[in-house]
Amino acid sequence: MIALNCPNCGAEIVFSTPALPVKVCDHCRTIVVRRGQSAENVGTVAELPFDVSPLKIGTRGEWAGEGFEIVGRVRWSWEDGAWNEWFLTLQGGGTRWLGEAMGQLMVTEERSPDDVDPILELLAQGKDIVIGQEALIYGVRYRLVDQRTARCVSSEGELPFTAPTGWTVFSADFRSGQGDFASLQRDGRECRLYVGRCVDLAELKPDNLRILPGWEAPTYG
Amino acid sequence: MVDGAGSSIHGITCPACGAALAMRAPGYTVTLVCEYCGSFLDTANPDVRLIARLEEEQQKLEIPLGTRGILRGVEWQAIGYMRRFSNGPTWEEYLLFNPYHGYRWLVGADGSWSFGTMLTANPDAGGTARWQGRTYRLFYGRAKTQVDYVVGEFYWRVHVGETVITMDYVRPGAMLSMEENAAERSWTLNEYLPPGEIKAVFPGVTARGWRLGDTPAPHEPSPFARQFGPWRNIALSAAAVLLVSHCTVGPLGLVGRADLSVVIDKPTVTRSVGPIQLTSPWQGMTVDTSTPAIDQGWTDIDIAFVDRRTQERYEVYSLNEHYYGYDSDGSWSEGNREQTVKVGGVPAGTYDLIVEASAHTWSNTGYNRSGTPVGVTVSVYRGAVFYGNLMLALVLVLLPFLVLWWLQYMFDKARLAEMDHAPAPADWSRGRGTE
Amino acid sequence: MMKPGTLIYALWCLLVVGGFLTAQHYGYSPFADGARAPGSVHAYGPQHK
Repeated sequence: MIALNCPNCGAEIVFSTPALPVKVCDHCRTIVVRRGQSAENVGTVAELPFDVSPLKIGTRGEWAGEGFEIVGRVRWSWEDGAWNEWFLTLQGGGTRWLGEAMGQLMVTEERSPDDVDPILELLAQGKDIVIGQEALIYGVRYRLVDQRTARCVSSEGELPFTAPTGWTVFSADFRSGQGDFASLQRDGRECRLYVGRCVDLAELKPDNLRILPGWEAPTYG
Repeated sequence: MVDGAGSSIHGITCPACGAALAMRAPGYTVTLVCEYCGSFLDTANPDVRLIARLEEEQQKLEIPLGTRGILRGVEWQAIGYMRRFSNGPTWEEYLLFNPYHGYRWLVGADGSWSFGTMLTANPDAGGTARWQGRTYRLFYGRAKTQVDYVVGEFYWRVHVGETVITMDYVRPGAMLSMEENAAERSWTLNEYLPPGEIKAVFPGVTARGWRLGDTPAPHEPSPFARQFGPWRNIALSAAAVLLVSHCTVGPLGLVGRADLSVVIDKPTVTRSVGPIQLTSPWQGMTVDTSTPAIDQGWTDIDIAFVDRRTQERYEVYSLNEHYYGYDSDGSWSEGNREQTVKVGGVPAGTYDLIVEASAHTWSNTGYNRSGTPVGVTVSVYRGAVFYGNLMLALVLVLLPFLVLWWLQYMFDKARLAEMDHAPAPADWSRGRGTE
Repeated sequence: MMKPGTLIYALWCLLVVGGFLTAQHYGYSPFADGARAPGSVHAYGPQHK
């Protein structure tokens, strides 16, 4: 754990693990990148719009037998809506993303997009693929269900990369018939692949959920 | 709970009519249709944009937007409403929201309500669909379904006229609905909500149980299903008891016999036979009468059992007759020369059997046998088997069950009449019971 | 729990079967051709030793 001061407003910023060098200052929304013992200001993010997500930074839960904690969030928007990607750190040291869109949740893990399926290669090169196109990703059969240009609205907390407001990526979503989910994100030439599946909140046994006035948070025993 | 009790609501102003609107799913809602003027607002981004300005009088909803209710253990808030139609009738859909549970649907068609959950996985589907170990049969084939009316909040860019292709599969109590357009396909599981359950949560809705003449929902479970098995068992048990006790009645015992000779058209002949001992506390009596020689006339036979001690009489009458002739169709004959009559409820005692018989000729047959003697034989048996009792009891016992069976048949017939797939005969076993 | 209609049907059947068995015991039937004649007292047969 390393505590530094925000280069912009001086507030204390705590980096909980050396693996995650990016954190958004809670006070002035400056993106701070830690390099060694010094903190660098790489920009500011917009204020996050109000939403009724039940999740927040600090929410804890369980995934595949391991405890997790939400440490960061990126909010993306596209032509027809917006969604949250919550960043989780696992007890064992790994990280996951918890996507939250249209009332659905999915947990994904970043995996290498190389030598997975030719379709991913084509998408990485910026080629247009027909919706419904099949792909075999890490042993699971998927169909392309969506492709869109997404724009980063804002971000908060600790993240594995900087997510500045206005950053655009191309995103292609795949779904299997059994609830599996995969997403390829392309930023220029760089591609990241995220693979996982749909879940419901109860399965994650969440604790420390956001308190939403007027709504009673369920207790997961 | 009252809206605005905290900051979970995002207040916005309708750019068209200036009304103060409460956005109940901020961050998720993409389209908001103003409930005052009907204008379509784009809320995908924090700045609210006007898509279409309308000035329409908004319909009064049975469940006003913002109403909350607890269904299946979770509190839901109605945040959106739309009406869709397909090949004729329209139905309504309320979008329900709970931030911790996501979205559900409340679908109402013709007074039947269902609770809908979108699936994240696809069922196996073809002529039948399988989902979580249950089988669903195709009810509505591929059909074009369109949005007719929208108000409130939605998480996609809904618009009036939005069209999808739908298919619906059913099992008693649930409907699996598929809808697709060029871009995507989704499945929803709609669970039937009994009228009692939905009205307890949202009292304003129109919902009622099936009545003869109504058309049930495709997935409506038969109201008679649960009772059918028990009623059938009760009916069969009762019928079995009746049949067994009817058949195990002991044989009749001959207790007396009288042979008389009666002269046609002459005064009545009386014969007395006794004593006849009847030992059972109560019994019926069976009397066989026979007049083998009567022709073109009849005999009146009055039989009485008289208790020697109490002088109580138990009486029965037998008419034995026979007629014949010829007409354009050939020869005919009519009448019984032998009869069996039964007396009920004769108590124990010592009895005398009194027989009074007279014989007569039918005057206009030209067959005058006045003065001829005819023999009359009367045989009396202790005990009587009343088939009428058995029939009456069986009818009374089976009738309610048969009515239930008929109602079950009428229910399923009406339900299947709406099915647009290949016609099937009224399928009782599917309508019966929730598997 | 059993629906009230089922209980009523069971009781109804019990009533009918009970009635049937009672009628059987008393040798009674509404379909009998003859029955006790009201009140007449005629002297037939020996009245005394």
